[in-house]
Amino acid sequence: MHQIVAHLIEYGLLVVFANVFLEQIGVPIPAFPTLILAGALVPRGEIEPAALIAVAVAASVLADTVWFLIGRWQGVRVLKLICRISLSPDSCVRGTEALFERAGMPSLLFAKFIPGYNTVAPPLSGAMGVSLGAFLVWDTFGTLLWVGTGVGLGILFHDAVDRVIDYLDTLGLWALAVLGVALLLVVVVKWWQRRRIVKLLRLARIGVLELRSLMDTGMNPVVIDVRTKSAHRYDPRRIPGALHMTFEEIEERVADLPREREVILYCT
Amino acid sequence: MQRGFKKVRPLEGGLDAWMEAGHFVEDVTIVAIRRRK
Repeated sequence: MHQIVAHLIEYGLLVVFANVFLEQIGVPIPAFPTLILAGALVPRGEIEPAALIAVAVAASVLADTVWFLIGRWQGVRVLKLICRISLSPDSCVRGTEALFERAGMPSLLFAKFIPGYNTVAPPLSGAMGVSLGAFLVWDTFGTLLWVGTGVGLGILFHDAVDRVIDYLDTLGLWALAVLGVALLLVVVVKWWQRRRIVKLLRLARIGVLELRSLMDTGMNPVVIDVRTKSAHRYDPRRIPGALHMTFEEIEERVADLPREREVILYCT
Repeated sequence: MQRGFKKVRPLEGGLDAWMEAGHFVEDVTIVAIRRRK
């Protein structure tokens, strides 16, 4: 394990830059532990705090800008692509859009602390037509907060971080093997849970053909477009006769909906 | 959401799947203008 620290000291800023950039661009290599570890090296004088923060912020903002530009170019379609890896693509898109609609650009201040929203917020800003200047300002402040928290935790708990590294060092190669197996187990369990839920969701959903036939045979289902207001502005088309209501509005108007008819909800 | 309703189901693939299947969609802005007339 000390080899990792040795590498971090030797290539410190490069490792931090690469790790933060890769995580922000979408590779599942968590950068926050690296920031804590790098922060723990600050009290030892082995890494310059200002340079560490500057490099981490630059890497993150660079990756976020790439996503922002892809969002600007591809629109909300890019969200579907990102959300495809989540449990329910449409609720993922709707959820992130709704959060962005409620909090607006200030949501970029805390975006990095919310799993999922972290990756979606930059392309979403691009898709929503936010100016590049405004995006860079909010994103830089949000990134500073995130990097500062990681590095700050490392500085604050550097003794504890040292002890953990020393303990892992006594385990030698076994430490890496145990960490690897634990990581693999987490991935397998998550994959299995996701597969199970996706199967259940498929069973509970209605396909386009079935909906069409319900409409054609006079079953008269109540079709509700639950897209957010901004998604509606972006694409004002809807299934003929569909009512546009957000989930909050459905809650308010639930008494007005006919209970004897089937209700079909749809999103992007 | 069920709350006494006969059946509540989400549409698989959403609006995109509906359009990809070649079904008609209406433009809300056009509908709104027609209603105003």
